[in-house]
Amino acid sequence: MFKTTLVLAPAIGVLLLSACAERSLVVVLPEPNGHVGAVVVHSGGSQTVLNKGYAAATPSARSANPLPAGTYGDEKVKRMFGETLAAMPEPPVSQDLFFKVDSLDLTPASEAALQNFLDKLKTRKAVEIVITGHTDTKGKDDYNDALSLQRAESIKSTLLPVLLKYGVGADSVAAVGRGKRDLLVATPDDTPEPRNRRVEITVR
Amino acid sequence: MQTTVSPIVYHRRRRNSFWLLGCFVAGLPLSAVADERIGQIKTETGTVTIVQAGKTRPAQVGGPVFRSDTVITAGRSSVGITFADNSLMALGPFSRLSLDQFRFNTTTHDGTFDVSLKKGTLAIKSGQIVKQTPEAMRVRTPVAVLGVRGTEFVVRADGTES
Repeated sequence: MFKTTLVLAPAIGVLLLSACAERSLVVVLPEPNGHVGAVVVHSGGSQTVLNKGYAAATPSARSANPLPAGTYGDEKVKRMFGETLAAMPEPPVSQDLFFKVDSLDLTPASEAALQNFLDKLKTRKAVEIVITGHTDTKGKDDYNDALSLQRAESIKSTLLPVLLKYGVGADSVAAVGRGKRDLLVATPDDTPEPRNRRVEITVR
Repeated sequence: MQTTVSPIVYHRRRRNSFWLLGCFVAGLPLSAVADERIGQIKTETGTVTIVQAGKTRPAQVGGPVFRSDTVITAGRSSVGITFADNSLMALGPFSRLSLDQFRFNTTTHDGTFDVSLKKGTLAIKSGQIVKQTPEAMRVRTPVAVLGVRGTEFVVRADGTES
């Protein structure tokens, strides 16, 4: 018993010390398209903004503690976070679909694009589909919100039997409307624009 | 057997009153609404479990995650999750992540997303909530709060600088 205490004492000391020195590590990653966003690290009343690829900080309870540029790089991140990054889900993929004038029939180009898109489902696991309706800027917000949702719902019912063939059941398909918030082609308000009357299908 | 600790009790153990206050406030709505499906498990290796209100269930690909779930990975284990706003997350081995708060309006993309990495490693690619409102996603670690302005990043919660 006495011996155990002797052995444990330093171990407990080390534990206490490391608890005092508790730190987190944050590393911002460059994205494949070259875009880098930012993470603001708040800690112990101080903060630091990480907005460059591989910018890093090791915040403790006392400070945000940004690290000098170059402290972390691709190799080091892979060594420390390799298993974690390997578990990242595939990014969602979207496809715009357009309709013949005054119709819910897809244009021939969109028919082809849809088929192409559906083929991607074969390689994905636990597929979820989101169908997002968009309108042009003609009309009021409420009207366009309702219209975009209606358009998405309508496409959803058309696509459900097709999606089922790819093993995607109705409970994995959602229809949402974005109204005129996400224009493909920027226009002034109250402007009819066929390219903005679209439905976007996303696989997640 | 690992003991499960509720967020409030967990944070009571922290000595810093700032944290106690912050987490107490954040913790309040958790118990009120706990059954909203907010994401789905997409990848899994090894042993991954999810704790909700003291009940443990195994994680499985295709299975849901809910607000106030805590996701726990064992050694040589990892899990990848997609969320309703297209955010992506992955947890590495020996990790513990609680999904504290998730609100998302699919029409306006307004929302908030708060998670706490209690230990281990986490990778995040932010989604539509952050695109609409920078810093509407927050990642808490035992010593810091990270406000996400829209990017891909990794976090380790038990890290000493190496």
